[in-house]
Amino acid sequence: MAILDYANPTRFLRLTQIVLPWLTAACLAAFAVGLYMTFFVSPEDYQQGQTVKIMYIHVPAAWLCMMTYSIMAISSLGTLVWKHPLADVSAKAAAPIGAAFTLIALITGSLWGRPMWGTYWEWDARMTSVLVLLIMYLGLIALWRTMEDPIRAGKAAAVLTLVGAINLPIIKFSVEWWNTLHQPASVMRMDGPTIDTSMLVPLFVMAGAATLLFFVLHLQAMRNEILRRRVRAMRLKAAAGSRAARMAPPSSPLSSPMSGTPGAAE
Amino acid sequence: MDLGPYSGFILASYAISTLIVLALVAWVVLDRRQLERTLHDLASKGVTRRGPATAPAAAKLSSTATDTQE
Repeated sequence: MAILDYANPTRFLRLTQIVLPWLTAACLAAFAVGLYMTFFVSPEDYQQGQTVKIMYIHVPAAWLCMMTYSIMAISSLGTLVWKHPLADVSAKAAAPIGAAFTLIALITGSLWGRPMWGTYWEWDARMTSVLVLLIMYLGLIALWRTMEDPIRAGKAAAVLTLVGAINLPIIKFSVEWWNTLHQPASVMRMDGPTIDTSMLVPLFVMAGAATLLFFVLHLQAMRNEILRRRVRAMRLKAAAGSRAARMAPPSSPLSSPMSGTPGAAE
Repeated sequence: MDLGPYSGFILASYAISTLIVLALVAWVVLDRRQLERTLHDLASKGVTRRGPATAPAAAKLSSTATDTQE
């Protein structure tokens, strides 16, 4: 099946209806294993003690807030370049989920920072750039809600999303470009992770669970968006029929075919 | 399981994250229910996505108070 075949919303709805229960079950199982490992298997950190447990929720949320924006940026290319019918649906559906993961990353980071750094917040490069990411998510959500026509809103949001993508490398490399409270990358490194396996495994399990959660929510939110556009199309069509029936004079030949049913005009 | 002197920070992190995720799940589920209900209402009033626009359906539509946000 060609990739463009999945562009058909009806086919997408049918496919996701099959996939979603399995994804949801996998997500719940992964969270069960991940949380068990977090609280009962993973050891204390030799410096941070038990507060390292915050890492298992903070780091996956931080990864996902960037992954979500990357998906939105790719979807925006799909909207502007390939005009894929589901591209702006994907971008719009992902924004609230990305905002939620960004909020989780900021709050858990703040709660981790207080005992470790002695402060809830510092205007360092990493924290500030992630806050900017949250503001961008909220701005995009607002933009979609301001414009009534989803196609026009999708194009405007796609341009803004692509411009905002410049923030992704800033977030990623901020800890190397500037002197910040955050430590340099310790998992995604060219020379391999510097975290011990006993902590790395639970971290990857929790990251996998959070990624599955993202896909479950994203697919369901995309299904909702397709249904919302169907509702809109049906209302517009009904309103157009009503307007045509009102405006056409009774003797006009237009009144009969447009109103659909004889005597339907008010 | 002893979470040490900073247990409040650890538990607060997980509790707030759980609340945010639950809010997200509730938004998706409630949104879907509302949309399915609206689609069902429209279909029962004779409104279809395809075919010519019909006035009776539009007249019935005006009685539909349910609103879905863009």
